[in-house]
Amino acid sequence: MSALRRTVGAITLAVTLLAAVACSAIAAATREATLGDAAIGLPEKQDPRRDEDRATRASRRAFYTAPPVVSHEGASGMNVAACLGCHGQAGTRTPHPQHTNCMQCHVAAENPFGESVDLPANTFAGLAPPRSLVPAAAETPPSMPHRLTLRENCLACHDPDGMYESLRTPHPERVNCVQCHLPLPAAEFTR
Amino acid sequence: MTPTTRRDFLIRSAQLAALAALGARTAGAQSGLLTALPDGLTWQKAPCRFCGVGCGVLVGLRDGRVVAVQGDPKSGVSRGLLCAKGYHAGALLYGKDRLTHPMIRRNGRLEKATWDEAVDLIADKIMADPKRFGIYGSGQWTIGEGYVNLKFAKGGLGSNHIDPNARLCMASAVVGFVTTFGVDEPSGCYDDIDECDTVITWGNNWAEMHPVLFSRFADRKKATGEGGPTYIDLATRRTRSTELADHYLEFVPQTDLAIANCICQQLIARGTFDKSFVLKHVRFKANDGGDLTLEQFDAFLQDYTPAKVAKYSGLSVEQLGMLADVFGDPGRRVLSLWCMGMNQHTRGTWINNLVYNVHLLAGKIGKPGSTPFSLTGQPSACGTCREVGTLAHALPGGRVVTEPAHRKECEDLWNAIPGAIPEKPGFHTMAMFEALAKGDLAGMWVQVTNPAQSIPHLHKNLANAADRFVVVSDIYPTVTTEIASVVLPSAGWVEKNGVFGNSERRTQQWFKMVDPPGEARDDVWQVLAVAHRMYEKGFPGLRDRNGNFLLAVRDDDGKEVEAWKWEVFDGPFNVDRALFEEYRGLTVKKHKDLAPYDEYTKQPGMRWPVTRDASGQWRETKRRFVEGEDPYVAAGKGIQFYGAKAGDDRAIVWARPYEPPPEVPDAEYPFWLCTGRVLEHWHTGTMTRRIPQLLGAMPRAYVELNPKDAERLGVLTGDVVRVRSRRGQIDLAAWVDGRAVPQEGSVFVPFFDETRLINRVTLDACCPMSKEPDYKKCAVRLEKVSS
Amino acid sequence: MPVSSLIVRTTAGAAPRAAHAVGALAGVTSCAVDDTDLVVITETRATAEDEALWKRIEQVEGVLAVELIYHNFEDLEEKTQ
Repeated sequence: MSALRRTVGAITLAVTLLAAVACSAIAAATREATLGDAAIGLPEKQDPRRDEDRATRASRRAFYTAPPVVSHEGASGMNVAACLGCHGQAGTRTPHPQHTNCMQCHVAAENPFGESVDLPANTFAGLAPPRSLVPAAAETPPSMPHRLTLRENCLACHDPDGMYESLRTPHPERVNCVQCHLPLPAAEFTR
Repeated sequence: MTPTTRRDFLIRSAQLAALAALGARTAGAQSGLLTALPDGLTWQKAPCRFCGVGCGVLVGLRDGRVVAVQGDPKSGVSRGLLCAKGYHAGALLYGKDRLTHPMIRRNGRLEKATWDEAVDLIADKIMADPKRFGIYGSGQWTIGEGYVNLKFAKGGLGSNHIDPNARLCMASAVVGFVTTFGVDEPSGCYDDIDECDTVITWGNNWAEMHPVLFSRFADRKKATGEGGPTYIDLATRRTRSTELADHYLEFVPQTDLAIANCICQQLIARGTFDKSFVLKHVRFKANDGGDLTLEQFDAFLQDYTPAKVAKYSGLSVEQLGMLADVFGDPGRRVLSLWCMGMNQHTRGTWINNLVYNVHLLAGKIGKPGSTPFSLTGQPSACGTCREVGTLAHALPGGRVVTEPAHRKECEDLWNAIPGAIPEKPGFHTMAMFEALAKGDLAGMWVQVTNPAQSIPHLHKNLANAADRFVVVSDIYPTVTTEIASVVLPSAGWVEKNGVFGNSERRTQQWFKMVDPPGEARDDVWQVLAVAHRMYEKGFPGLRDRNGNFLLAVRDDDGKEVEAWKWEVFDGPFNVDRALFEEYRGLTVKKHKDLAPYDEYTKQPGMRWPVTRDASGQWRETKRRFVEGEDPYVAAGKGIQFYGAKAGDDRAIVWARPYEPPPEVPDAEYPFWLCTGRVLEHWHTGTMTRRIPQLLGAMPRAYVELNPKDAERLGVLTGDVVRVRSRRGQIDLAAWVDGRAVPQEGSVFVPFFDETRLINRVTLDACCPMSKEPDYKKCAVRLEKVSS
Repeated sequence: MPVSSLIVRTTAGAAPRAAHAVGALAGVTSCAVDDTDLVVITETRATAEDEALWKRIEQVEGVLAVELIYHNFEDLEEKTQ
């Protein structure tokens, strides 16, 4: 915080830092107080497709937050232009358009020779997705259960054309997602 | 202070809210690198286990197991990004067939044994013939592992027969550095990727082999668009890297030697070389070591005019001219990158020298964004093999066994009997395997590597190995454990404490996070246990001047810790830290200074030389030899190549000629064969072939053909093709129009697949200076076997 | 007269440059750097202007995300009289 101290100004900061330590919950309180006026279309109850979507997503990942494998064919020999031909479009858009070496992280689920492969026996048990995304308090926007790194473009997954129905936002007219949805306070996925 | 106005109040409220939100979110992350979470998940930092890039990873741990891996946003290398291997690194520890107990070969079969039996047998076998025992290690040795092995062999056994697999990948780079600059390892660093105007890769597919660095450049290039940095891919094969290239220059294998000389020829002929830089910082030498003037060097270059080189290099006069334009542009910051394409080369040392020549003549070194930069393939080829010096001729910190003063410094630090370290260099890798085949070596201890797959020309070089006493320490069965007399189960990656050093001189530490399976134990302990057993049995080499154990591990007060006992080694005392602190004393001489171990525990890593500034802070060095960055450069020098053997602070421009490769395609064997890696697998696949996602994506080796050649041969993707050389043959599935296209008349085969060993086919011709084999060029014939 | 505070997340290493660029935007009255986060205070004349400014901040090179933390849009002129 040393950089802050210089720029914000000594007097304000003395007050501020003391207060910051004392009331870490104030941000949420402030946000509610100042933004709580708008009617936000919250889902009325848990989406029934969630479990199915969760299972599909998990089947493509070694652990929650791992880069998914590419589930369609032909991926082994694909170049970036071919990847972005589809994954630059709504519905299957990449959540991190600033990175363009797709196959660096996303390996193919199928091998280029179309052979069946005996996968190696491995007892790695990856981190499971979080059980519930229901907010702690009613009326509170739910936190993000993942960090923002590599998911900078929220609408890639959460827009109304998104691949997983249960992830689609109920209020697509509001595009500044991080205004209300903050990453979980745990360092787990935030930093 | 009460606010004076409503506006002041609002602004303070706004600041307060932001700081509180920031504080709440970052307090945990900023309190240290280990953060406890309510649900028992913790994240701890480590360098990635795989390549030499040295990405920073955060390992997610729960209930004593690795459950996730994410990029460490604090890493100055990878900035939160990883590649597919890194993300899946956690699974490398959990393959079902982990080695979990020692095994001893009895009546031709490997049988379960106790640690005590194994240690005792190894101690006896080494004691029977200590000078004919070799240690073959790896660029995946941690610094502690390399150091303890080096001390054991050179100080304890009185044998210099220790060499690493890095001989197969980095030796040419090392000899290139030493002959040009007098001292190993690069001047520049990865930050130069962020600041260059042009990148030139010399035979390097970094999109697959060093993907995180490639992305660092590709993302920058995309973000800046027109007017951003440009990329020239100088290669023998179109690859995923080529997709990003502004210019793809396809050259005939081995003519990189002539192309580099041709750039130099043009720089001098056009007068576009950096005259004041050359005058101050460079001297010229003939290939035989004699001094040359600039005029004499220019005369040597007359064989390499664009018109002459265009005749055999595959590059046009215009393309050669374009390269000279790039290097001759004084304002342009140019970064050259290379890896195995230049190192695994029968003139690997020369081509390293020649690329330095180009940069030195152009004055493109030691400036942000302008530097020649040698990439590495293993996580600690630099930190361990090159800096600790686990090579047949080397000693720690840039020392060599042939220098009496260097030997004495090590013997004094170790309190070893004077004269313990032999003067004569030991067998280098290729000679070591030849010696094992012939019986000049009676035994060998192989650690962290898989030579029965990675050595070239396997039939010849691994002959009789099964008849010798071969100890193999590994985490999985490999083709090398198949020929072993004793197999020792090792702890892998975050199952032990360790320190790695990456390509940009960055030293990175990690702590043990999970227990190794079964009875698997650290390689450091294995060496200490065998050494102590020999000491107990009265082996004189393992006694120091006072009769104490030569490999004694001591705490901060100098008191000996019984680290050879597993329960002590596995306890709270950090043996890795003690070894690092002992080794650290040897790093200062050649300005490779390392910080104390505890400094590295606080952050993802620091680049040496790390020295203390006036305020007591430990400061890393981004660029060596550069005033203001490198603390060893004298004030007013600007650039100082202080490693120069002649003591004149000058780098050497060598007149290295073109030399044809030892084997070229002919009527009988009409294709070039180039071998290498693929993105999904790392080296011999011991780890990556156990990871379902990676093996699923790339299950086996293949032979990649140019579509025109494939058409001529009537070969389609998936057809089985026999690749035959004068040394051996192998049947592989063909891949045409895949992710890369080799030039016409050439094929590419990856070497990761232990079920299809391409090194039965490769040639074992070496660079005569570095002794590094050329895996990139030999002649083969193709026969379609079936569709 | 809206007053807002934002946390601006930046890519590693980009924070100082991004702070410089953000600080130069009209309406930004204070911009502080903390590791890879910026703490930005904005003061504008109208809510629409405020929102436009956040969008501009999002476009600054190196910026990953803009998180609105505090937003007040009462009519200040009236209150301070």
